[in-house]
Amino acid sequence: MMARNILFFILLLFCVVIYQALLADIVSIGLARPDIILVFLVWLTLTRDLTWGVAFGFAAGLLEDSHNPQLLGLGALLNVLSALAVFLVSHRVRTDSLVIRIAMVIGVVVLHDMIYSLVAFSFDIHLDIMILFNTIIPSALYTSLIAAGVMYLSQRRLTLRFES
Amino acid sequence: MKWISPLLTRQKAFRTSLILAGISIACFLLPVNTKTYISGKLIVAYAPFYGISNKIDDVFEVYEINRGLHATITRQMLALTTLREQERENKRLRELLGFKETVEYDLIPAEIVALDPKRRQNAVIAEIGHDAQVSADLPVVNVDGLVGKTTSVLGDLVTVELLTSPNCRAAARDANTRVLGIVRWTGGRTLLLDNVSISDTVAVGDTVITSGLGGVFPEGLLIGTIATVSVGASPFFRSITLRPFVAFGALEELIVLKGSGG
Repeated sequence: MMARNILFFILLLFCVVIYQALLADIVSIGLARPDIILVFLVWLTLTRDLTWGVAFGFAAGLLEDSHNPQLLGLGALLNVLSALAVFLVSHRVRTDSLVIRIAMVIGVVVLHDMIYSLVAFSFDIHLDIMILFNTIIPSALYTSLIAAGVMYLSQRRLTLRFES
Repeated sequence: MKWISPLLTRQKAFRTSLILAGISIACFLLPVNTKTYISGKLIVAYAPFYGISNKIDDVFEVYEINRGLHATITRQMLALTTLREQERENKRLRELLGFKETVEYDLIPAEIVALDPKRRQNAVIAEIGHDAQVSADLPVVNVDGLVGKTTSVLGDLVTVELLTSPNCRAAARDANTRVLGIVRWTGGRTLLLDNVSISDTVAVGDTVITSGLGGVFPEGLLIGTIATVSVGASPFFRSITLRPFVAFGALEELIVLKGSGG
């Protein structure tokens, strides 16, 4: 079971690497770029366990940060905090609703990217507001579409498994 | 504190989260050099996929270039059709006027294999096909214009004397004003258009082409544009420098022009 979990974890990281290296630029629409790390993070935290979400967020965050050595660790930290936030919120709302899950993805993407760009641009509020409207909100909406697909398929798979 | 209570019931997960958050903060606070080193190690995971990504980009780039080339070929085909029609008309008119028939040329591709070790800058050795039957004193061009002439042939190898050789001269004319002269090289990156009288009109920027009067080079091959015009050492002739179209330092494929009659 442990080996299977590790294999699944590596497979997810592998998907993230492939996505960032090969697909991210292709699927981007203007400045909107879906953040599949956060989709997987929310999905893992809600369907598996907090440890999964945190570990995945940390590993994927570090990999993502390697593109910007100056901010190494920031993405990982924000992913870990995002997983914690999702975990805490999931105990106060009904997470079996797809709409709630998608709303959580949007919230996580907006907060994560806002804090990231605040730190990255030395707390330049004007620039950050501009990025919020031009990049972060469109990316969050785009990410929510991907999340809807992932979570719908995941739910459907669980239902089919239960029925069989 | 009530909102944090779910975390306290999951002590193991909470501890893991704190440890990973701590490691992340430690990474963030590392010196830039160390961060760059660690990033360099981590980014290796992406390397094979970036390789694939670059290849995919190359394919798209080649596709775009291909589309552009198709468009260019279509335009050139249309231009060629017009030119062929004009050539036929020209031939008919020349026949009517009783002019001597112009020579047609076979285009023999040649690939540069070496610089002539004896003359380096002024000659190159090119490889031609087996059955090309090339001889000395044939004009050599590339896509940009006149390159030089063949001087010797040994099997598949032909020595091409470049226009930047002191021994290679070409009878030329100003394409606009039709003024005649002789193009030669006197050193440097430019060519000299010699024997142009002070009374002849030439202007900077004019294109200079071969005149066909020297016997080796046919009429109309592009040589260069006029860069400067001044009074020469002799008060009767102009000193005209040309900027050649051909980049003599970056030659690759050449074409030998051989009269179709042999």
